[in-house]
Amino acid sequence: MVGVLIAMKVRVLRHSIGGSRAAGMVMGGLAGLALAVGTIVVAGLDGDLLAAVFAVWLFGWMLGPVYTGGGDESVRPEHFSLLPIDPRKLALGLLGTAFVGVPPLVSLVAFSALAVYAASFGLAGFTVALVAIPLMVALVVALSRLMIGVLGVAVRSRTGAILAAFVNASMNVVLNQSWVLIWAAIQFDLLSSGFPPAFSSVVRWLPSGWGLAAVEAAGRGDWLVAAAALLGICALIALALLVWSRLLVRRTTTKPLHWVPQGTGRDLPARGPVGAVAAKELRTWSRDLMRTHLLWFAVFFGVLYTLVPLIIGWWGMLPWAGVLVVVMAAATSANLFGLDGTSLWLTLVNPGTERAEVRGRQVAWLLRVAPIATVLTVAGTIAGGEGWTWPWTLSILAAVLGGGAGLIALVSVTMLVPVTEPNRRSGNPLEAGAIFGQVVLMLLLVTVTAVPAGAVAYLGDALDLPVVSWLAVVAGAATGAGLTWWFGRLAHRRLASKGPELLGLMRSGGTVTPGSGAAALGRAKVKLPAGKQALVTFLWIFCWIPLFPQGLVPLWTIWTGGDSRLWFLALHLHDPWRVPVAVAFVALGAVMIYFGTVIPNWHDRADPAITHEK
Amino acid sequence: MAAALELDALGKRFGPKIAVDHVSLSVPPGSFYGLVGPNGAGKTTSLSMAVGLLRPDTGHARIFGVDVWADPVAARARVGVLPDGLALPERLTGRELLTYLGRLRGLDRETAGARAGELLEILELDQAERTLVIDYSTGMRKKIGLATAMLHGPRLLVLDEPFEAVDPVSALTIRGMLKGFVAGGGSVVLSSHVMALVEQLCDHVAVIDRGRVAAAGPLDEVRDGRSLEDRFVELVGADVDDMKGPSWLAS
Repeated sequence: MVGVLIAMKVRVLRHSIGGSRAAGMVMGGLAGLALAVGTIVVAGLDGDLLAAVFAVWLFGWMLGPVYTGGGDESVRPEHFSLLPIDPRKLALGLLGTAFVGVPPLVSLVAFSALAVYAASFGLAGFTVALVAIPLMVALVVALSRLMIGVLGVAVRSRTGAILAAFVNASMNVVLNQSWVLIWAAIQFDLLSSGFPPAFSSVVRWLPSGWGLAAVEAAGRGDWLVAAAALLGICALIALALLVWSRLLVRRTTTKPLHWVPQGTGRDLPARGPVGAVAAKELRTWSRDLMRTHLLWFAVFFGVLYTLVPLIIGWWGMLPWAGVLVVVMAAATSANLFGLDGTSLWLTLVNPGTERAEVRGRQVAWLLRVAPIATVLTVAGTIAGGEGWTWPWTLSILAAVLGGGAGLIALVSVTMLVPVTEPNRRSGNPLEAGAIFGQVVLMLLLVTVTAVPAGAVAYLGDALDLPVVSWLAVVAGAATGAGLTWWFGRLAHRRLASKGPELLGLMRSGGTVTPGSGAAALGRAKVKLPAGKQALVTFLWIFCWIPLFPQGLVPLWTIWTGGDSRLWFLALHLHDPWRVPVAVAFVALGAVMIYFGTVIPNWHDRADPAITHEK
Repeated sequence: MAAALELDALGKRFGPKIAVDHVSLSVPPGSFYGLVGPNGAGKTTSLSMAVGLLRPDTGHARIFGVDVWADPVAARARVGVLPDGLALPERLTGRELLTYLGRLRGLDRETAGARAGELLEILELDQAERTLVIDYSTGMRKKIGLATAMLHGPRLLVLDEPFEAVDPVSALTIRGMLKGFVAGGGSVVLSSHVMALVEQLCDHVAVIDRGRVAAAGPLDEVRDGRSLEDRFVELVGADVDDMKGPSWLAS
């Protein structure tokens, strides 16, 4: 049975791999391979460190699917709910399919570091390593499946969606703020003094360290411990499979109970068309689990992001919590129309309602985001700000609130990403679609809308005129209101003219029809040649490094006169080179984004044979 | 001989709403059983619980005497199901889907391939050889779902709205297939809203209303000398006024 399931998955993958997916797989595989090789290098250095790195691999496997959107769902348990197969056997079979793909191969390379480490433990250690390596790979894959299973059942409720948002946001914050952790490690002087003994035993007691513990025990001739560690891994795999098979049964034989609406809906008509849409949207924000998840993700992200630097005693980020929440909320809401799926037909058969549809959605988004963001900004500025911070935070908050409200409308009708229809979702809010590119673009665009307000605030500080500083708030409010109005207008005009095309895009999703070359993968209407696609993917993935950490962050640090240099290249130079180098990095990032955007467009235009009828 | 399908006081509650309230039905082997009822009466919920797709709060379901929830593996092997709104691996072609499911049902490679080919041909899906299931029309999805239900040669078919959105020619083909299946000793349970179709095809019928069985038994007993439609309206207690409509629409 495992063989049939694997053949099935391979066939599904073959039908769904388009240019961008293949390129993504190659890029991801190469990045993973680099990390795996790094793990092998660590194996030659230090056992404690290796155990810690293995723990990172384990957590990566457990949290990775959350981060990338619910894991691989090409072969779903629902497809087999009618078959006379024992759930434990099905779980085993589905686990087998989980080994198909690039990540397990990469992990096999990473865990083969055990064999390198075992070199100093003699033949016995090496033999145990050979047994432990495949077991460790099986363990991380099984625990990863279990995690997805738990989330898949948990996130079917509102509480679960919010919890999943918390986990998801924590994961993102750790990735984004890892420099704080590195900084903390330097401060606590871990590298020269080595790890404390408690750390060594903790990383070995974690399941990720059991393989390593077995090798070390075998090297000492302590066969009892070695056997116990290896058997422990097997037992944990079996336990994970057992629990997972239970969850599979639950998933296929219960229906998610949707939150029972409390309101009557009678107040809807009283507010005019815009009010009606806004009321509908507000209800959707709280009742659609995916939207609940995305909104809470933004809130947790902003709060945690600014809290993490407290580890190294830096309070200066707290005033920006509200702004971060707004920016992230705009980024995750930019697929506003895509999230509702083909219910867009309701707007299409009611000509003239496009304006209300867009304005109502903007109003609802502002009502959802602005109060939280304002409270966070005020509280954060009181806690971590100074007198001069107030005009900065308030003006930029106003600017990004307005800019965000405008951009979500505009981007959602120009860059629509097809998502599973709301009525066909398994209840898992992680199925938000391939919105990664959209999210990063929005992060950038929303940040840009804050530039005028920021400039005025800068002028106020530079001239030391509080009046000018406070004018920044006016400027922020003005640009915000203007952008909301203008982008919203562009959006409802486009919705009116391109509505049927948007509906068609949502219907077709992203499929590669066997035998035909044309693909309708979200925004990319024409399939790029693999090389160009890889280049575009590369540009989009790596443009953020010169733009943010090497460009804008050092500029900000120079501006505020901070003295921490970390890995920011510009800060290691001396004047007059610091600012130009940072600016050059920003320019480099911008150029990368520019080419990442225009290369697909060139290709679009160069190939008139392929029309956009899909 | 055990009933082909037996529902024994099945009950299900969704939050405050009781969807199915102690439904008991017995489908004799070799019968063509029609399940009718208004929208939201609990037909789909009852059928889902009967075939092992939704765990009931109370009661039992048995397929040829095998308890669906105590021994799901044995029960599922004896039944072919066309569920409502079924999940399918969308990125497979029809032939691939049938072949893999046949293999998972325990058929060998040759049998699975041959059966898939035959079903595709009969249901006229063989022209769409290069189309993925995700690009199928609603009717085509129904047909491929029907094919997955028949693949393993079960003695009982449970079909939720099998004729919905299917074109007239395919509908005739499917009716012919089902009639032949029953003539050969198989049993069919289907739910439908089309009374004329149920009257023509079925020899037994059950009327479900507000989660309860309003009437059940051989067709003629339930009809009681009238048309099924009239009897249905009477049973569900609907107040049908031919001319009723929104006041602003007619003028």
